Amino acid sequence: MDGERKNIRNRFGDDSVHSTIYTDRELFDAEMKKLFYDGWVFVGHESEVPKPNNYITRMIGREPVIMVRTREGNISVVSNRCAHRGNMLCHQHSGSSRSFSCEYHGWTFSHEGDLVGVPLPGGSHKDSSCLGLQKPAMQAGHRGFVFITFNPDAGPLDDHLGKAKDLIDRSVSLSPTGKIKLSAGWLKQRFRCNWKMLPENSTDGYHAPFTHASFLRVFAPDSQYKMLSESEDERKSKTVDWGNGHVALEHAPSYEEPLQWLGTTKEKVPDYVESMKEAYGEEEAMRKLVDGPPHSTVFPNLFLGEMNIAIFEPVSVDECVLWHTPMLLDGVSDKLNARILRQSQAAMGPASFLLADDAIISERQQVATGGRGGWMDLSRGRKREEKREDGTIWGHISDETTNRGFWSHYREVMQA
Amino acid sequence: MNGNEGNSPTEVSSVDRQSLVDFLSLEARYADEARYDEWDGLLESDMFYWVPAGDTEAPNPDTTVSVIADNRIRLKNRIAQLKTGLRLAQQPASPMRRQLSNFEFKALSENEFSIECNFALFEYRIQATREMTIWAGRYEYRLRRRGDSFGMFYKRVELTNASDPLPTLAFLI
Repeated sequence: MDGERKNIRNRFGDDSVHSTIYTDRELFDAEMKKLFYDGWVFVGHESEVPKPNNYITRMIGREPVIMVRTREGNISVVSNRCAHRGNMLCHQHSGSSRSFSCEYHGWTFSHEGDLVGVPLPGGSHKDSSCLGLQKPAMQAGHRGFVFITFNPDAGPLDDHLGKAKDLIDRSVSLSPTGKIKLSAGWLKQRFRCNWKMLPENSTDGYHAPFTHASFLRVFAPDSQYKMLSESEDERKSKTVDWGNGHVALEHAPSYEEPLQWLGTTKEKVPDYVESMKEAYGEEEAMRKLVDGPPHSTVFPNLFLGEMNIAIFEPVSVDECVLWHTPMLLDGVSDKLNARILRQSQAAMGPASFLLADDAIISERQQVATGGRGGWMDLSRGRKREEKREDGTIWGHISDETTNRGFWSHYREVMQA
Repeated sequence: MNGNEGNSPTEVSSVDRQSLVDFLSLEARYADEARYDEWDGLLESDMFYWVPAGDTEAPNPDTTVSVIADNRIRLKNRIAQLKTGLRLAQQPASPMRRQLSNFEFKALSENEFSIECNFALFEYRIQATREMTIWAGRYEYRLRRRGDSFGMFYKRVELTNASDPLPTLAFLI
């Protein structure tokens, strides 16, 4: 245990991280246990399984799970592995099933994971209650976002989420009914790099004018992305460390008019603006419509990426997958949701105008750190960031406040 | 008339078939060789360029995620971004070659045709991992007569692995 702690401690310097943190296989295995099995992780959103019997499959670390809506309408999460001989029960990404039946020997399990049927029962003498599917130790949700942990001592979800609860609230309250629907399907982009580069890059406010120079040249004029190419003094957006590894780029200070973040105006979507006013009152609605959605990671694997919901999925030490789906809103016109979809397509995914370029940088980082490696500097803005009374830390949009926030929580959890 | 008297209206004459294949071979060559302006010159003003994704059996560019769903304006921007010389994901452009086969032809009207075929595309990811990536699937093109040749107004790319993780795809597929 002490060896493991030292192993982690030796990778952190004075506002710096050693690049072996991207390349060490043993460390990756330790992350699966400490972050993905022993901590709270995002599984899916309730809107992905709208009807009883609907299920989706996901990987939590390297553990395959099924999230299903039971016949009673509850959400249940079980390991996607037959309790008999380890066969994968559901091999489709999604589907609908009254129970989970193993195609190897025909054992059948309920949505809650109880063993309810064994063919040729004459040979079975064990108590079937000992032969159910494995389940998370705890499952909890917030506004339809479902989280699990395999650790009974992980503490309440609310403690882990902390201020991230407000961020989730801010996302879903862009719908006049307070509900989102993740119904457009997921696009999955494969990165040949360590998974931690995804949360790092997602909340890095420094790289845009360089990595995304081609994007800014073509798209930035007259768009909501204009702020990304402004000079250091002009830029009003902030980096924020919300605590617990949840970090954000806060773009609200850059917006002056409602709906700039969606590249539209209130005159162009009057029905939406009206329904928001009805739902939240004029003042509150206008504040929501000016501020827009959060751009924040929720440690370790969820990204509230403005009008996208994204998942960071580790595959191995040098491979990961970025999932994303547009955050469609309940209670708005199909036309508005189509706009959200189009905006999502432009920004995220393997052929998008932004993430395609981020992927190349991450893959080059992985190659470049594959040898002896070296220290990576994360000191930018340390001297000018502001620690507020509520414990949050606010930095200039180009500062590494977010990266420091991610790594300091990572270090704390990995050393525990 | 489709130039093939006596056959059903959806049939395409052998002369037209050859011209269509010639057009598609050129289209593939321009895409393979990152000849963006020449590729763009093959397109009609109502071009729609679509690479559906996800698990859905009924993909719809307005309601389900796509890898690409470009109208003419967005496709112009995609090409403009590639042409900046700063598009890291294609800097330098991937050396690649694609093969087309198993053609099926259909006349949509006197002047419009639909062609479907299988493809295998070998992309060398020279920008980062330096791996050979194989892309496979089915193309559906819709072409319109334009003088002696054709203009393309629709290209749909059905990737065999569209519902699973895809590497960066910043070139013209």
